[in-house]
Amino acid sequence: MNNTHSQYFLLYASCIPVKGISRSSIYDIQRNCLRLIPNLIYDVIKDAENRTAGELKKKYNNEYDKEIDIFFEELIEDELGFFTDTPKLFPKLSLAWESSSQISNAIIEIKEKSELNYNSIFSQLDDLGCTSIELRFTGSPTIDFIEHILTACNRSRIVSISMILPYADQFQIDNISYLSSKNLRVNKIIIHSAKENKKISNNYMVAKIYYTTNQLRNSSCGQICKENLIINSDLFRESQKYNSCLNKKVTITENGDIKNCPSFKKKFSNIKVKKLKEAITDAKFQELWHIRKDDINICKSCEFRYSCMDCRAYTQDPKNRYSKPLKCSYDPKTMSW
Amino acid sequence: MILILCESKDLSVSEVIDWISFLGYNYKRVNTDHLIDGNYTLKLNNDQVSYQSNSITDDISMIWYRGGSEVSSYKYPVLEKINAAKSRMIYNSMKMEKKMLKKSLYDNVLEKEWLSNPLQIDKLNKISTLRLAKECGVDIPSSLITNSKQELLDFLNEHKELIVKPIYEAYDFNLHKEEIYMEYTSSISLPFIQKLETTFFPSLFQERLQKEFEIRSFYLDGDFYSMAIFSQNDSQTEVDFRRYNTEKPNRSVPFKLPENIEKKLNKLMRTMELKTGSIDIVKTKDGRYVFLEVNPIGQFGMVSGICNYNLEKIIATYLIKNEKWKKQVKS
Repeated sequence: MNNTHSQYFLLYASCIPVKGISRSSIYDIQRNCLRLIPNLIYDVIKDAENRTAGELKKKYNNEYDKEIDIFFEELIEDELGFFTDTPKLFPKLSLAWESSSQISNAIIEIKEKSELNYNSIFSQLDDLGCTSIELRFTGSPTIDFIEHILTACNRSRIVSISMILPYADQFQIDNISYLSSKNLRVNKIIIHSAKENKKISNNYMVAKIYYTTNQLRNSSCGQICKENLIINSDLFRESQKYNSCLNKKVTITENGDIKNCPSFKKKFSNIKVKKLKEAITDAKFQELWHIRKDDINICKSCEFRYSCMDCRAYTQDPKNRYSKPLKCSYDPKTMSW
Repeated sequence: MILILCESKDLSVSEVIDWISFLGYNYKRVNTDHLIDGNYTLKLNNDQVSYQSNSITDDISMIWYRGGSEVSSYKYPVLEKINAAKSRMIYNSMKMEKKMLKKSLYDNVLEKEWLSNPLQIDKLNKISTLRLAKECGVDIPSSLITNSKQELLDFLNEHKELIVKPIYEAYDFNLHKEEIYMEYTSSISLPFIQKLETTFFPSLFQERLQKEFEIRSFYLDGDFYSMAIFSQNDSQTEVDFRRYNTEKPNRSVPFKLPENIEKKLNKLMRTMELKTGSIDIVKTKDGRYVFLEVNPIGQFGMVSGICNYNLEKIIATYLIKNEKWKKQVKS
């Protein structure tokens, strides 16, 4: 290790340290995983950015030379970092996040025999550049009706569709697999209030199909737990400046109300009287898009803050717009869930 | 308007198109693999080309050429009725017809601004590019094309370690139904050479470079967007990083090429009259930046995504800017 004395130790640009109140994380947004580290180590990594290994050790009065060597060796072994003579040639990853969509994702509540014109809704979403939609069906839709809805999404910019259906006799595996095989944009189908829990996925199908005995309502949303954390470049970068759940999202309820999300009471006009484009360009509608995890009480000191989907509908103090999500049990201070 | 000539499955093109629309401009996309089934007409008497009943000669000032595979296969019912050798001949003749079909399209929209001009691209090959690179002062691997065992042994003696790679492109062999064999760059050893006949099929040999890392650089009209790929950590990708390790992808990070290297590469790209391309470079352990090749219609999606360069938007903006400029010049 002696030859590293005059070299710089860098984390790979996609491995980004994030400090929490009691511990820190290294977000690996190339391989999509997360490594927890003590805050002291976070400081060492930061100090190493503009110091050679020799200078770094000196900063710590040469009391931890061996520990620092071992620590760097470990990070190299795990492919999180490397030594270089030319740190200037390795710029940091830009965390800018830009989207070619005015609306990127939409939740649409759908019922059969509705007076809403779904074709028009999908075509408006397409004009806004929407790429992913969640269809929340109510009642007991026929397979034909679901197919009709999915057909309306053909030849659009939508690349991912997830569907939530209340269980009914027509939703046997054969019918559901048929729908999925005919509509390759569909990547998730959840059938709730089912008789049993099961998960169906195979190599021949794009979609994952879940049957769950739980009943899903709008109020079921907003759960934040270890298993729901998402580590990827897109979310990490988007959440630096925008709300990780609501940014560029729109909801159209069963009655045509336009909302930020189905769980909010607040509505911004109705699709029957207003063009979607007009409703979503209203500054009031976009207000919540700009609440970052860095602005939210407690969350701002959490080491998981850029892997969390947040929730603004159910919060601990509904009067405070910067209140922590109600359904998150994690305490970053004690590091316990 | 911007005309895009590409393959139907080119996802990066779709993302650039999303940006073109977001920025409020129009485009026409022609999937060249669908020229046969897509209703294509070229009227020679008035130089009009139309695709899907839309003119692609009027109102077009800028063309983005994304190459793409050959025109999709066409089922010739007659071929099933004749013997294999004859059907092979007909097939080959149709292949040339399809190639010229595509060329007829390019020839007739030539008086436009191109990114990059396909006729220019057609002139290039791996060997001439290496020679041009050398003339521009770019470091290239010591290379030898030979069919002689003795020459090869001498070359090995000089460089200790060698690799062999295709003189043309890496080719996919679809030998069995579900298996595809692909030509990769591979290392060759003394025992391997000793087993060769005194003469063999001429092949391209190069010194094996001791990599610190590889660099893939997307070039657009003077600007470089580079990515360092640490492929030497993984024995599966050590010689050729296209042998992807999908479980644990190679560490890849944004990289800034030293200015003098960019300068020479820029000169090379200008000499070849390429406005864009993906350049492959190896940074060796002893500090050399060795140029391997340039792909004029290279994939940029990976460099863009991993390094967050947002090349899709940069390309869209470039096309719009040059389309406007060309239009002005015309009027």
